[in-house]
Amino acid sequence: MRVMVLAWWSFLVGLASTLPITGAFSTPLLWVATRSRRLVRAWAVFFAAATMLVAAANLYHLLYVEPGRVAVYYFGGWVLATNYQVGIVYTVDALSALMGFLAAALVFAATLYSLEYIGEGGEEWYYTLLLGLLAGLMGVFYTGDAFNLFVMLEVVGVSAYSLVAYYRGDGRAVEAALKYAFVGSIATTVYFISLVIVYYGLSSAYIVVEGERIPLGTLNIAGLQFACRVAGIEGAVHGLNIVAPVAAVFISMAVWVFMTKAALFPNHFWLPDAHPAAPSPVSALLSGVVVKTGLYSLIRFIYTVYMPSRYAPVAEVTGVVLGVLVVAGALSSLVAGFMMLVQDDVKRLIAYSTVMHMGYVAMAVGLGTRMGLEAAVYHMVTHAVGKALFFFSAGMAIMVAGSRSIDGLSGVAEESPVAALGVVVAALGLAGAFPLGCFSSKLLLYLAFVERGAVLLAIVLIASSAMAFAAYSKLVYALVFKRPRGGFSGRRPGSWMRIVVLSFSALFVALGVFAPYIVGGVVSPVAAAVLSPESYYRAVFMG
Amino acid sequence: MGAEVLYANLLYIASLAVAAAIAAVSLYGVARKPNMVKKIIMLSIFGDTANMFAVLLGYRMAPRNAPPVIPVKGTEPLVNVTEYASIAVDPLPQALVLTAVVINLAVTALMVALTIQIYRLYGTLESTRINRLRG
Repeated sequence: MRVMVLAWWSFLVGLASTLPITGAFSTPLLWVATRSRRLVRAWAVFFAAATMLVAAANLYHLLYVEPGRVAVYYFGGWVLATNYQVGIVYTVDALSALMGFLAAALVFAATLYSLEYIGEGGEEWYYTLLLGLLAGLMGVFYTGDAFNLFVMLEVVGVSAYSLVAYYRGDGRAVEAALKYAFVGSIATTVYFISLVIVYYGLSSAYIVVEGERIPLGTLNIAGLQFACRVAGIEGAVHGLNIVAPVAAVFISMAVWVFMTKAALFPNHFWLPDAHPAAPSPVSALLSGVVVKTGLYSLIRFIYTVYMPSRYAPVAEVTGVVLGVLVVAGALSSLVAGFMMLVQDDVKRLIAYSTVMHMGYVAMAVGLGTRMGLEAAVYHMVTHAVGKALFFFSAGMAIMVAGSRSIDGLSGVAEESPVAALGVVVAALGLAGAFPLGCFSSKLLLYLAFVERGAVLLAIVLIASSAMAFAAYSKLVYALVFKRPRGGFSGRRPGSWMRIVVLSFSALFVALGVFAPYIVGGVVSPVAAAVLSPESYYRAVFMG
Repeated sequence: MGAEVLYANLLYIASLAVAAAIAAVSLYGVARKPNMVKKIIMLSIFGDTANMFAVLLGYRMAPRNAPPVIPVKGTEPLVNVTEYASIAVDPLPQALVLTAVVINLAVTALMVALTIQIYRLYGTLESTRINRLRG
């Protein structure tokens, strides 16, 4: 067994998901002990803020202090070696750190927003679930273990299903939550089966080192990469004939699962019900980061596990998977574009836009090029910020107007200019108007498609953006130029909500204006980290 | 190979086939049964089938199926550990199943709670009627 001393900052990796889960479990206890709503809120804000700081420290460390480094944390001190793969390891490269920071920042913003949005009655359970969601998200993005990924997906899932049903007096919310729960748990169970198959298959293949048989069976992501890589070495693996079919079965089942999680056509049907039914800050989280767990996992498995392999059958399988992603992504964005045009409910409209944007990211991931990966990463960031802003500001507008239909929002700009500003910035930005956030990432997507010669994909991108623009213009017109129809609800958005919406608007503009700096300073290093899977493997097994 | 070993191995293969059949039936049930409670039952059957499948794959066909406990005298192992590992049943899938069982319990409890809420709101558990009520 290897013994190693971890650097102090690697404990920040372990802290990222244990901190929020501590907050989640202690919140109801605190409530029972004190019955103080102020204390519960302060507690939730504290844990969300602390997690965000930890995630920010990890991101800063991996991008600027030690660029190209992959941070590891072995839970319980079980240090892994290639012949001794016991224990859970959190492996954080720049992509994990970026996604983790995005998740923590969005949850922090949603917590602040919720302080005034979520009324009395069950507030303590709301913050418990919110911190549980954060813990799951940090786990999904930070884990280096495929089985722990399954566990963390379920943590995210259970918190998300419950949050969707938070308004339990509303039958539609409960129904949407049940539908989401059925689809989500079938998907994760299929993922579990695929894990068992890959473990079983690989453990019947083995390599021989110094006369000792070392079975390849593992569920560690770096270990899976090791198995795929040694399979490419002529004569190294005994029982090799099992590796290719197992790899193919695993990735095809896992791709279906992650496409469902990422709401890609034809598995997008649950999203337009589930996301709008939740309270608006939760919708922002679901559309902003939770769907990205699927795409993140796809990137992780394709680029970290399958791409490094020189084994011809594995490379073939990878090619097929990339093709499936491109086709599913293109269909998602077109189908969502058509559906957006006919929506009357504003939150459903925004939810369909999520399907469209996930389609873009899937197309970019499916290109398999460095530029495609950069575009995918940058688009995930801009979309997360833009979509969170959209749901935050739409939530404010709905609160003021007391209606969710587009006509019912007429004239909200007079009553609450901040809400209208947020909706306009988010709508124009997501449609791709210069110089807002998604303009620059869509430009990057366009360049990536053209560089690969995929003109058809570029046309899909532009056509679906145009459809989105048409759908949004109806909303913006009603909000800003129409006269109010009758009275408003009389509820006023609080100052925290306004601060969150204004700062996200500024952030979204900044993501567009400073795009060259962000791409150069953050996105390129992240893509470079994903494209050097050897360092991922080295960090886990060689310290 | 003795008759006992043959029967054990046949039983093992038959259980794998049964697991596949149950998985298919339970997925059909989730999709087609209109009653919410039946859907939840079918989903737990699907989860349990996945767990059974995992345990079955961890098992090894006789005669290479010693229990995964190293025989010891005092603290000294009586066998070569590496060799023993190659003839023992793999304990890892059992550990995975333990985790999956707990997760399935949480999900089932949540779904049952949501179903009770559906019944309170609509007075029915038939998903076809709930969809109609929503309009």
